[in-house]
Amino acid sequence: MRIRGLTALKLLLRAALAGLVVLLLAVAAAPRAGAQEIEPYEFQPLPAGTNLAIGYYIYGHDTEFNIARGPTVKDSGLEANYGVFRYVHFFNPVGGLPVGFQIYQIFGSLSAGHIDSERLGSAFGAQTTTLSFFFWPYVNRATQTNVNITGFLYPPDGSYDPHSAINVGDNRVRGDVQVGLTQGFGEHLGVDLSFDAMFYGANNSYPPGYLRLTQDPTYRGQVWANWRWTRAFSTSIGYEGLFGGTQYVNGFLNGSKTEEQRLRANAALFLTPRLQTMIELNHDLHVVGGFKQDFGATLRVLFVF
Amino acid sequence: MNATRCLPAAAVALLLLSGCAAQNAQPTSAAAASTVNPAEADFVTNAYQVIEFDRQEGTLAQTQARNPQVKALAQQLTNEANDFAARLGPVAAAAGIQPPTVLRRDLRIRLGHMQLQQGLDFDRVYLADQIASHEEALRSAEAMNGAQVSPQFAALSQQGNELLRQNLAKLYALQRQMGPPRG
Repeated sequence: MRIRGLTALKLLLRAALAGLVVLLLAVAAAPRAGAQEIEPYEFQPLPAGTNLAIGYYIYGHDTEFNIARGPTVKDSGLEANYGVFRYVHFFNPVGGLPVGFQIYQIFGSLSAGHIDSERLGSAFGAQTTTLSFFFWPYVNRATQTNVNITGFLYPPDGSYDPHSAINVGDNRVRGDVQVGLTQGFGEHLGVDLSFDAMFYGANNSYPPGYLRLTQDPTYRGQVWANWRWTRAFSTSIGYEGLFGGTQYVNGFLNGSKTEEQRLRANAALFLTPRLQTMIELNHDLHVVGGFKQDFGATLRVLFVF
Repeated sequence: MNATRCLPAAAVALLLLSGCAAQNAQPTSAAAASTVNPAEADFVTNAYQVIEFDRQEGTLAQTQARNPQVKALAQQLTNEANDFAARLGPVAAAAGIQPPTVLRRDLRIRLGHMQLQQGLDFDRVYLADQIASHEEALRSAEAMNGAQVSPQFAALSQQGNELLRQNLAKLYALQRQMGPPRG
């Protein structure tokens, strides 16, 4: 009898917790696919006038949800399917420094979202447009060293419903500064390193009504170790870690933050000098304050013109 | 949902893209006043492409080539490209022709791959690239044979063709020693 009573109490608490989570963590389901997430050889300057048209398909299968400073809700899930269009243009060097511009548009869906028994519903639409400029303050071909600085601006566009628990867009301005380093070692081995900091404006239409969401900056470190097997084919293994990003709703912690450790594996192949295909598989090792992606995949097609 | 809020950023993006496209469409060919001889403008365009390609790949070769003979030939081609550019510049300016400012698309792609390949099989790829660009420049020059151009352009064309043939022979000789690119 006592055992059954405890079980009932646990179930009640679990349901209450899940309800609270859905209420307060709505934006946690916002997509983590971001322009700062680099792929191997991302920071190689290309000749002035070069254009890249890049298409991505990104899939994420999330299986559990962690509340920062709270428990992990195992019986949770979310399916993310995104398409990304990215255009990159390299200008003539300014002051001897290679420079360029890029724009990203992410669109897609979040579905089958649930935290325990609480259903999150689904969302479909466009994520925030990403506008970005980049330059290389240091390029040394003799030592195979490139240092890149990129700025990103996210205007508050994208699909957003202030009454939905999950959204594809996030209804706020964001900005990010990224520093990247590419270092080659001999003919085959190379590494890419990057660090970026994202700063968030407030979202004054945070569900379930018009609450005010604020967020501390998110800091992200990434590393790829690359091996070039031939002129056309390379493989890489990588790590991505996100830290910080604690969220507040009307000044109170809501249990969401951007703390994540991810392992990544990548293979890329130039089918022709103008066309490259790439696949990435990834797995979250540890997540605090959000969904854990048990399995993720990215397919990319890059066209040079 | 508020899809219409995408419009301002999307509009800005389209404007930026169209600006990029406009910037990109123009400078691969010579800009010329309407009174300029089209054959002379074509000559300046073709000469610019081979000069700039030689310069940029030659610069890469100084740090990425392994074979001393390839390095030496790349340096020679770069020096000759600079010399020829110095002679071409005043003649083009006098004719009212402004050389392009960026490489043609196919040469940009080749150059981009050379930059990405970072030393791997660089020497063989460099020779293959240079042979291709020299052969193409010669074909363009032959296509212009018989076109009415000023004596200055005719002299430059003759000097340029001789240089291309001489260097092509050197490139072929070195390629025979080293073999074609792998993979």
